Amino acid sequence: MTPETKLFRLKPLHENSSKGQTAFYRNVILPSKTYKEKHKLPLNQIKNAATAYEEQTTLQKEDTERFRSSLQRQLSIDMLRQGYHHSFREGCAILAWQKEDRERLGAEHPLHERPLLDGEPDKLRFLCLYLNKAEEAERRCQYSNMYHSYLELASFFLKSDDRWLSDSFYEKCLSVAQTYQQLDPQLAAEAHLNVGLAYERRGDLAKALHSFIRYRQLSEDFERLKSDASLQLTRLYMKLAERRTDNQSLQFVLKAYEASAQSSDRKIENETSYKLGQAYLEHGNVDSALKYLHKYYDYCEQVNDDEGFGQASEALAICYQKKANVEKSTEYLTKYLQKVSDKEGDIQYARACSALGFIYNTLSQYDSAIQSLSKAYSISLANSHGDIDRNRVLFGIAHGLKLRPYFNDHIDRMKTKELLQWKCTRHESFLTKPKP
Amino acid sequence: MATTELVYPLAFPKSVVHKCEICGKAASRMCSKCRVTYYCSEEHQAADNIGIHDKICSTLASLRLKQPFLPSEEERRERDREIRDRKIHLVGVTRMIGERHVFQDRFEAAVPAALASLKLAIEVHGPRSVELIPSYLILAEASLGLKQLNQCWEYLSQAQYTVLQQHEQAPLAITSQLARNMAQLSIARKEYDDAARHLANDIYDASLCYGTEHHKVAGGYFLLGKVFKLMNRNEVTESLYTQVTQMWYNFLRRLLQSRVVFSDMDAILGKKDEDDEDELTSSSKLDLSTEAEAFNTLQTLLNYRLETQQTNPMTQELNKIHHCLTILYFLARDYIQVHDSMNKIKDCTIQDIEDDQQRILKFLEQLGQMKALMKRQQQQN
Repeated sequence: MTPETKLFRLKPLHENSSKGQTAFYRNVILPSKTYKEKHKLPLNQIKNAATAYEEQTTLQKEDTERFRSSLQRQLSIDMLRQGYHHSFREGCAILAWQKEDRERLGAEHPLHERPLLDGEPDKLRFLCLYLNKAEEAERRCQYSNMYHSYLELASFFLKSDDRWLSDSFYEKCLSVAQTYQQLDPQLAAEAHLNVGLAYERRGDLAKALHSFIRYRQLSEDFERLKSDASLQLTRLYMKLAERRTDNQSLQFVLKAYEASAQSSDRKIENETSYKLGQAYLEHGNVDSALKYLHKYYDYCEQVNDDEGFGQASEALAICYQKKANVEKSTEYLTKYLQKVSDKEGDIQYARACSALGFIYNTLSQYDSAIQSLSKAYSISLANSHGDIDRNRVLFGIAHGLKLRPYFNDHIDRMKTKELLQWKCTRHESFLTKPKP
Repeated sequence: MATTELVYPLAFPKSVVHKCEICGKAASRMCSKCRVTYYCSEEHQAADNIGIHDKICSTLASLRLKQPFLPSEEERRERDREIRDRKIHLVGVTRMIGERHVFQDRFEAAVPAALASLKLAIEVHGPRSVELIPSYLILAEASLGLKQLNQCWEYLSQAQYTVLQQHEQAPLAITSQLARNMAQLSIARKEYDDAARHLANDIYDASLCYGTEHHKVAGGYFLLGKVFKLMNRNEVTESLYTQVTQMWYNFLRRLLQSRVVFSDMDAILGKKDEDDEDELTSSSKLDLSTEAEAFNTLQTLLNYRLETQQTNPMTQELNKIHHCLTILYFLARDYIQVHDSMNKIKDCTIQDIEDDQQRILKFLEQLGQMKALMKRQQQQN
C-alpha cells in the first residue's frame, strides 16, 4: 500500500470523527441551513406576516362568484339582491339598445370605434348607482328625488358625450314630471326645457320649439323661469328665422320679438326689436321697420350703448333714404358721428361714415362725401376690416362723381388732348382748376 | 289499479338481479302489465303507479323488453337510434308530469316521475351530462316539498357539481333553474341573504336566456318578492309583485289573442267542425307545468292583494290578477269558472281588459252555438 491510498482512506475517517457528521450533511444540508439562518427574517417581521395572513378574510361563495363573473353581471346581481328590478331591466334594455344601434349603423360609422357601455366600468357603475337611487325614491314615493336622479344621469351622460343616453334620460325626467302631479310645477317646466334643448342639439328645431312653448306655458307663475323661457324662445325663433328666407322668416322674427317682450331682459328685447326692424326692412316694409328701429334707437340712447346706437342710426338712415327723406338720414348719421367723435377708429364709426358718404353721394355733395368716405376707408384699412372693399369702391365712386361734371365739360368743349394729359397724371386739380 | 305479480328473486338465473324501481333493493314483485318493472314492496309499487307508471307502462314495456336479434348492422343501428329517440321523448314526458305534480303540491307523486326520468336520462346521456340536471331539480323540489332539506341539498349539490364540471358554460336555462331551486332551499332554511343572491343569479341568467320581459323570469321575481316579504321589506315586495302580475298579464293576454284571432279566422272561413276546434286549442294551449305555475303564482298574488287591501287598496292590480285568472280558466276550458272570476272584476278602468272580456264572451257564445248545432245534427242522424 502506498502512502497516498492510505491518506485517501484516512481522510474521511478523520473528518467524520472530528465533527461527527457525514459528507452529505456537510455539502448539502449544512449550506442550506446556514443559508436559512443568514436569510431569516427578523422575528417581528415574521410575526407581522403571520398576523396579516391570519387577518385575511376567508373567501365566501359570493366572493368567488364575483371573481368569476363579468362586471355587468356583478352589478346586475348586486342590484337584484337589493330588489332593484326596474333598474336591472332598464340597464339591460339600455345595453341591448346600444348594441342594436351599433349594428344598425354598421362598422364604417365613426361611432363604431367607441367602446360599448359595458366596456366602460365607470359609466356602467354610475348608471347603476343612479338607477338604483331613482328606484329607491320611487318606492318611497319621493318623486322629486327620482326626478333629480334621472337628471343627474342625463347631465352625466351629456358631459361624457353619450347624447343618445342623456336625451333619453331627459325624456324620462319629463315623463316623471308629467306623471306625478304632486311634483313641483317648476320641475315640469324645467323638464320641458331640457327636452327642448336636447331636441335643439339634435337639430330638430320644430320639436324643440314645441317643448319651449310648453316650458313657457308652465313657467307662467314663476318670474325667473318665465323670463328664462322667453329668452330661450327668442333664441330659438331667431335660429329658425335664420334658416328660412321667405316670408316665414319674418313671422319667426316677429314671434321672437313677442317672446322677448315677455322677458325681463330689456337688452335682449331691444336687440330683437332691432333685428325685427332689419327683417322688415329686408322685406320692404319700411314703416314697420322704422317703428322697431326707433325703439332700439331710443333704448340705445338711454343706456349709452354707442355701438347699438350706431347700428340703429345706420339702419334708420337707410330706411329714411329708402323713403327718400334724406334730411332725416343725414340728421341721424351726423348725430351719431357727433356723439362718438371721440371714438374714431371704431368699426361702427367707419360704417356710419360710409353710410353718410353714400348719402352725400346721392345728395351730390361730393366734398362731404369724400371727406366721410375717406375716413371710413382709412379706418377700415387700419383695422383690415371686411368692409374695406366696399369703402374703397364708395370712395372711388365719390371721387369719380365729383370729377364727372368737369369731365363732361371737357368733352363738351372737345378738349380731348387735355383729357389725355390728365389721364397720365390723374390729378384732381388738373381738371378742376379753372381753365383760361 | 296496479296489477301485481309476485316474483321470487331466487328463481331468476344467477346473474340476473331485478331491482326495485324506487329504492333499488332486490325486488319481489313485478307489474304484470308491462312485465319489466319490479318493486320491493306494495307501497313502492303504489307510489310509482300514482306518480308515473300508469302513464308510461306500455312505453316502458316496448323499450325494456329484450330486443330480437337483427342480422344486419344497419338495421341494428337504425333500431338503436329509434330507441334512443323514444327514450329522449319519454324523458321529456316524465319530467313534464313530475313538474306538474310538484306545482300541484303532490310531492310524493313527483319523486317516482323524476326518478324515472333520471333513469332514462342516464341511459341516454350518461351519468355526468347537463341533461340530467332538470331531473335532479325536480327531485330537489319534491324533497323540499316533503321537508327533507338534506335530501334536497344533496340533489342540488349533485346538480351544481355537474354544472361546474362542464368545460363550457352550461345552458343558461338550466343554471337559472338551478339557482331558483337553491334559493327555494335557502328560503326553507331561513337563509334569506343567500336566497336573494341565488335569485339574483337566477333572474340574470333567465333574462339573458329568454329576454327580460319573459314570463319565465317572472318566477324569479315572484320568489324574490317572497324573500323580501319574509325580510319585512314590504315596499320591495310590493313593486316586485306588481311586476310579476304585469308579466303574467302580458303573457296571458298574448296567448288569448293568438287563440281568439285563430278562432275568428276560422269562423270567417266557415270551418265549424269540432275536430278543428280541438286542434286549435291544443296549438295554443299552455304546457302543463306553465299552467300550474301560473295558477299557483296568481293565487298567491291574489291572496297577497286581498291581505293588503285594507292598508293599500290597489283595485287595478286586483282586477289584473282576476283577469289573468279568467284567461287561465278560459284556456283550461273551465268555462264556469271563467264567468265566476269575470264577475269579480269591479270598476275596471283598463280598456284592454274589457276588450278581452268581450272577445271571450263572443267566443263562448260561438262555442255554445256550435255545440247546439252538433247536437241537432246528431239527433237528426
